[in-house]
Amino acid sequence: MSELDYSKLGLKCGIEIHQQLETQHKLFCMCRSRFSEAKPSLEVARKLRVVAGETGEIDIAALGEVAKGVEFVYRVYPEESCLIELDEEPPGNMNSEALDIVLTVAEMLKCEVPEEIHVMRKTVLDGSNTSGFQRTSVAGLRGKMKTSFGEVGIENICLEEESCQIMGRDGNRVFYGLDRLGIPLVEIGTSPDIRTPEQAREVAEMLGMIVRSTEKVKRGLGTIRQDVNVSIEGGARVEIKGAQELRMIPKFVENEALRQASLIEIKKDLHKAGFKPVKPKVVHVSHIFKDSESKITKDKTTYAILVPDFAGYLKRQITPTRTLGNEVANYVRAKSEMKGIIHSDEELEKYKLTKDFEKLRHEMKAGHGDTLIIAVGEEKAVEKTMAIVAERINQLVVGVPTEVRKALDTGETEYMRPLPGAARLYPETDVPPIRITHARLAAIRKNLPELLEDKGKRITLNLTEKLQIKDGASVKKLKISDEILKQIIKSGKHKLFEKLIDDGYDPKIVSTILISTLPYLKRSGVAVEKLEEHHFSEILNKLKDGKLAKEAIPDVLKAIAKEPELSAEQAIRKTKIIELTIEDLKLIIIKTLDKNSELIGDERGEKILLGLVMQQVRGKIDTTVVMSELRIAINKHKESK
Amino acid sequence: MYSHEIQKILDHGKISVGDRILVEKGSKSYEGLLMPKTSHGDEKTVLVKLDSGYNIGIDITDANISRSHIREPKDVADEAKYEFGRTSKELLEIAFDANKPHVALISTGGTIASRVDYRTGGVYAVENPKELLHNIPELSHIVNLEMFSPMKKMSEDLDPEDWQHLAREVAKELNAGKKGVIITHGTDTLHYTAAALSFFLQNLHKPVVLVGAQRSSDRGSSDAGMNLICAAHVAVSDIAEVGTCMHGSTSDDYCHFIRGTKVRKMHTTRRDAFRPINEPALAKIYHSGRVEILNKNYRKRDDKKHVEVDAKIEPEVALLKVYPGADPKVIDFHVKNGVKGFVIEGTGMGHVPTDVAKKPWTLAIGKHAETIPFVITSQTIFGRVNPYVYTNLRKLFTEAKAIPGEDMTSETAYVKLMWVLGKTKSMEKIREMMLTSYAGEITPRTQADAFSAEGLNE
Repeated sequence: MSELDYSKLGLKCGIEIHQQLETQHKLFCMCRSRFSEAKPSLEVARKLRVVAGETGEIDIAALGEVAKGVEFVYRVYPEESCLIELDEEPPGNMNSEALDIVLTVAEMLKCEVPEEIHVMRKTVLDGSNTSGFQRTSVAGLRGKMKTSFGEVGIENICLEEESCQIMGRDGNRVFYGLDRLGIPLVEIGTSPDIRTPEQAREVAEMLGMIVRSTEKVKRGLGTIRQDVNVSIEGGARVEIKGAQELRMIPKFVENEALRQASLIEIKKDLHKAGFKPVKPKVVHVSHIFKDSESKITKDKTTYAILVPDFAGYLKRQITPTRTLGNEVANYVRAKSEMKGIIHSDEELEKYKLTKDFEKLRHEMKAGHGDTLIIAVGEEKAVEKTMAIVAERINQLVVGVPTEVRKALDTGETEYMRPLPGAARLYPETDVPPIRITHARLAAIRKNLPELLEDKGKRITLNLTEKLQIKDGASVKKLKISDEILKQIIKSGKHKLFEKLIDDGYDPKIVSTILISTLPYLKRSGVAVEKLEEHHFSEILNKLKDGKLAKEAIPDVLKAIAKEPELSAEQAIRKTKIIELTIEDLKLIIIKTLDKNSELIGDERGEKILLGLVMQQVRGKIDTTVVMSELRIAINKHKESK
Repeated sequence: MYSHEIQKILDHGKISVGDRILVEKGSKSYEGLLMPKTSHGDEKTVLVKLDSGYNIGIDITDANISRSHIREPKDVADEAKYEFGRTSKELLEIAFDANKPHVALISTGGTIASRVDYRTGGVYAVENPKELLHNIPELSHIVNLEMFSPMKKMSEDLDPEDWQHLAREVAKELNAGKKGVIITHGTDTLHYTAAALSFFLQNLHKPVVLVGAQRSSDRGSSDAGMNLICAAHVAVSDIAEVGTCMHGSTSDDYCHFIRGTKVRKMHTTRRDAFRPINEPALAKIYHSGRVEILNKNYRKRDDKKHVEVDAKIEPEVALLKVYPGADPKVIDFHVKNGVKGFVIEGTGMGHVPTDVAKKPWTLAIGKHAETIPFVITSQTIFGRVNPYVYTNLRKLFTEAKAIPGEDMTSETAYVKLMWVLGKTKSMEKIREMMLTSYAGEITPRTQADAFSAEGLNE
């Protein structure tokens, strides 16, 4: 498919971000608002029941897990959960620290703040809330933000409670951690004013930057989540949940626009062909597959349905990597226990089913314009599956279904559940409403934080000045690259950086530690947040005095992070870095040269020699020392020849 | 209810709750449905449900409120029908199986019979008990239920007369051939009603199961469903006792069926608030119908027998609690006002302040010893009252002639004293009856596991 013209397609897109706030306590109780590092002290098993409205209607979005009779097991962490998370006590008053943060965000986005805030209950029956609902309140309305593509409206800013984190599944049991439940969360939803995939990324990035500017939001994996709403002209609103990475957002929008365009195209073709909705009449066909060469169907109970005049559609490409057949199979997996279906539009040879399908075609009196679909399993289960298949195929004639789709790492999405209706909101009468006084808002307006973007510029300017190498009167050059400076500011470690270079440490070494060593250590599970300024100074001093090799810094930091009371000296000893004396080094070099004397003489060979020496001494002595000693030794070697 | 001032503005604009309104305020305007005022919140605000589903409060000072002329979006309108109760369709009939045991469900009110109006958040009593069952279709696999609702009260509003009324209804159902009776009831005073029915229903040989809920049945996490399902299993079991059936732990794993005279609400909010006092629960009841007997001391079902109602009571009984510094003048006050008997919740083994204290209760009690019964229970809740161990106990029980309430809970002793006073005025007979167990209210011996370390925190 060629490049899409988004204005022609009528692309409309909205972004919703969810960001956890950094507060002392949770939103409705006095529990610590953080992830627990402890082991759970208790497990509580619950079931949720589907609650029918007065008229017997049930919110379709609500069903999901409950309809499957799933048991939810909640892990209790004593510091981070209490009877309120367990749904054994009504909520307390709303955390005003959290409300102030959200009001700040609302003001930054030029929203109207309601004079009285009311907490609502949003029905959620996937077990992620012990109560069966999520508490949420709107604290900002009708704001706006500027993007490089034009203004984008802010529809709602909500303060809500975070749900439990899913920790695993075991058959019919789903495990949840109660520590995350009730952590305050700000939700910002834009109007569908976004017109291009790239703008969607920009909006998500800007919103993230704005909430981080309060410096009162949690950082790290999973603390921010983005959902993207996408529709095109003639399509329907589709919500894409769980886009973790900003750079993937344009891909999701692009693929969804494509998917909707393809579905509209298919709809048109079906109309033209006069396609009639199909009835899922299931036929028992096990006998055809009795001697099947395919393991899938051999000696299994197999059922088939016939879809007249549908040949070719299921192999149509609706996104770059997915066919309509993939899409239908995806619905089957999401809505039933069935793993999948096989249809006559597929490459049947790969299942060794070509012959069997020919027999099937004959038996079911199917023409070449018809599609055959089979599934293996119990009659009841297959009937359910085929009903889902027929429902999805018949939906093609109506158009794009409005639904929630899950973001996949590949940039594709797959069906998750129907889009919930607004019926899910009703008042939380256990929490009194909060009057927002003029004085409170005035104080917030007066103290609006500086945008990280502006702050970044200011810090850059300041650091640039410090890092300039005065070369003559006018030449300005930084001691580190622009790119590295940007990364330091983005990492939020600029204050530490500034302090350390003010103290005279080498900006290059300091920046390497801050923007590459620390993230590396963090990824490998080291508690780097325990490292303080004095730890860095001590280590840098040891380095300066030649008591520590650059290469050993990560190990020493790791040791200190584990036991922050250690001095650099103790940490170095603890990491068992046996420092090499120059004499030892010389010995190693001589031995290596003797063994590999053929390498001496050309540049490449000498590089290999350095590598060989380094293998033996890495982390035990500074590389520059190794290099200079090696140079001396090589020269001597040459001279002696 | 809105303040008089706001109501006047609304009346003037012919606006009522549920109407779509437009509130204009300076350059801002808000549209949505006018919600009823919640019990808390600022007096000057009106509550509006926006099309997003969120409610906000708007200060009406300097605002102009009018009916909106813009039609509400279709999905919002559909919801209004769904939620406002105006078009309440006939509930789907649950198809009960006539071959299942016939059981009566008597709904009295309380959280278990409460429903939140999804639109307003207001809590209402369920009008039709079937609505309750609508969410619990499993019941139809266990019992063939017949439902009615003689009263709709939160349990804190129940009077002793309501216990009598209820006893007669239960007897009527059982004698008409029902296998058992389930009573849905608010939880706060559930154990008083349970005790009352235990004394009132004489010659009982079928199960009478009281059920409440700590989480209202409009939420997915409600305990009402499992409690009712387990209650239905008890109602058709052979445990012919009055008792309560509610969560046995904080998980949704099993319920405890606890004798009506030995049960007490021991937590304000937890699902497993109801605990047996001084004896194990009668049985553990699982969702699946498995009944695990924990206490063999129960009457067996005998469907041929007839239950008799013996509900005459003397309602003028007071339940008092002593504490350091408590003034016994309160006794004279009550006596002057016609109180005919007292249950006094003493400290420890049943102590009250004696003549050593500045305000001696022993003397105040002794003064009425010949005419008014004083039954002593303990505020330790668990354990038995003892009349002899200490000199001070002897002052109360020997000199002042108070009646030791054995291991009865204060609440059970209170109900029992009403019932006993309904039968006799003889002080001797009263003492004898208070010390005789009629409905398992006094256990002759207390098993060690009736108060294990896990007893309160299983």
